[in-house]
Amino acid sequence: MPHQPILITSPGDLLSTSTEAFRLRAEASLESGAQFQENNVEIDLRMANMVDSVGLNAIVAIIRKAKAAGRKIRITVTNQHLYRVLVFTRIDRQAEILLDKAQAQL
Amino acid sequence: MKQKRPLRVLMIDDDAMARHHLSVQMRRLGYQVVSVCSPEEARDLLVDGGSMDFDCVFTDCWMPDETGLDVLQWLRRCDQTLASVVVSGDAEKELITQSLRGGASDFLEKPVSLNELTAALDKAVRSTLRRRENVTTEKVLRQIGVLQQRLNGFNLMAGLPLDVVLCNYPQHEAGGDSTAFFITPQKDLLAIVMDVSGHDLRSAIISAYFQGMLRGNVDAGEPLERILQNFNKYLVNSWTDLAAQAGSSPGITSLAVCAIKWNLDTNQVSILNSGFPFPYLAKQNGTVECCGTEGSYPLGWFEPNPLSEVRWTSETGDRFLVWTDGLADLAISLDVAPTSLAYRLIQAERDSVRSPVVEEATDDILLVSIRVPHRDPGRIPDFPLIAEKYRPEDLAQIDALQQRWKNSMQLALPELAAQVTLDVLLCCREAVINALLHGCSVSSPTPASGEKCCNLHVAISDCESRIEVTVSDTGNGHSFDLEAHAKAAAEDLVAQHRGLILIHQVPDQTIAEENGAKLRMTFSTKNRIEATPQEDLCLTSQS
Repeated sequence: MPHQPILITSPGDLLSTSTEAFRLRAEASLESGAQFQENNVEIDLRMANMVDSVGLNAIVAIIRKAKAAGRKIRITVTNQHLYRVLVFTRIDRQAEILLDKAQAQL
Repeated sequence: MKQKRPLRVLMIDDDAMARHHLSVQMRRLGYQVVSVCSPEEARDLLVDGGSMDFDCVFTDCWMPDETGLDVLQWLRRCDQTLASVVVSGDAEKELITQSLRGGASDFLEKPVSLNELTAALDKAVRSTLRRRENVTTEKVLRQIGVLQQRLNGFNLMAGLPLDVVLCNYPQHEAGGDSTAFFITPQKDLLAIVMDVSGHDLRSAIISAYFQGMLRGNVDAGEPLERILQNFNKYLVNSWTDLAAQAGSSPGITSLAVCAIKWNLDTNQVSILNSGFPFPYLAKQNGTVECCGTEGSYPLGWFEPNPLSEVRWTSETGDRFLVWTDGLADLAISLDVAPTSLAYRLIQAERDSVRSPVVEEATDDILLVSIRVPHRDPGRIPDFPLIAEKYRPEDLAQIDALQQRWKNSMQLALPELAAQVTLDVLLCCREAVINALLHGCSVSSPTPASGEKCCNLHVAISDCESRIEVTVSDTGNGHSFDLEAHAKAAAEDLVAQHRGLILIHQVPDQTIAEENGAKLRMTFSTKNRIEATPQEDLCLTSQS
């Protein structure tokens, strides 16, 4: 559908041991939304407390593909730790980071 | 000799005929009987220790103001050792059930036959005697336990220039885990931690006997090693026979001992170990060394028994941690690092509270911490929370390791903000993965020790204001320009080395040593630096 963001949701932490399924799902979502050039990409990390380097690379891969297709990217997180990680690694320069103030569960 | 008084029954019944009839029968059976016509009268006799004058309460159920069930309820609160029998003309199933649930040892239906009365009274009186014996035994055991603690000489530590903490959580009132502290004429501090096999009174006796023998021999100037060897000989050759003669179950009784001899002038430390878990030496900077490499038998297994000995020169701020296997077992069942559990217990001891975590223990726990205070009295030493070594094959278990780190931090630092915990966990994960993947890779050179491995140390510092993490591996580190990679990774979305970038950015400070083969990360537990967009990357490194 046009003007609907392509939503990519992580059901939990994105870690070296659990990222592959997320990466495949993300690729499928990007493929299925490919026909609508104007749609942006929204990565929902509200259920994630931790994203490690492999998880970050999966996010970077999504950003690259989305950018190549001229899409804007927004990442939603719920905890300050994850927000810090995305800022420290300068992903905030590539995507809009939205900090949802809901309480993170450790 | 104190003469035993006759067995005495307190009978409660509002029916005078029933009281008379049953009293006569009871007296014929050899009991003294005191009969009253209401529960209120009974209570007047039983309060203030009066219950100890009776061996059984025999109560009617239905009376004008209160019932026999009320009597049972009152007895449960007042004296749980005094057994009771409920009697009633109404033998409804519900009433019988309520009576037995209420604590009655028996229920009889009126009219009561002599046989029924004999059996019910006999059962109730035996029950009272057994319960009272148990109460007395428990009281004596508690007293033995207190004596055991007082005998350990811990009070001697008060005047020493050492910070000594003792945490003792026995499973029973008295048992085999104990400590002994001495100051020898040579100004040696002897701290002896022992664990006798078993948890019963026999273990407590062995432990007390060993302590007494130890004290006498130390006072006589006998070398510690010879004392231990002599006791080993005694356990191997004499104790088993003695125990068998005393009717104890046959089998070996063993005593695991860790003896720390610390010369307070020279700071030379010698640790003798006989079947005890290796003690740990926590350095001022929070790193930990295991004091022992070779296992040894506990005393009582074989003769001769070669004791294991290690020697150290202690430095200011050093802390020796000695614990029995009860602590190690509890750490395994909680899936935490034993040092984090030790930290929790020491904090509880300092706060004079019993840590609830020990309720899950299945074995006695004894922990001794001995520390040389730092020269600067204001300096609070680091305490190790996690000190572990991993091999390349452990990489497959990284999620389980992370869970264990998290459990350890949450146990040791329950007040720590979740965000700080996440920061530490993420950096530990990245650093350990890097160390195992690269520092311990097939292509990395084999170290002199012959073992490729990664060490993780997590320590708490300065009144819990900082967490210090050190991750080191046996590799040669890296030679690439991390700063350049960091920029490329951020700006050009290059995937490589993102883990290293996290390691350098998330902590408050990261210091890379030995070309990055050793990383030291500092996390403030308060006033965490908030991330601000566009913050420049700032790397600190020391070659």
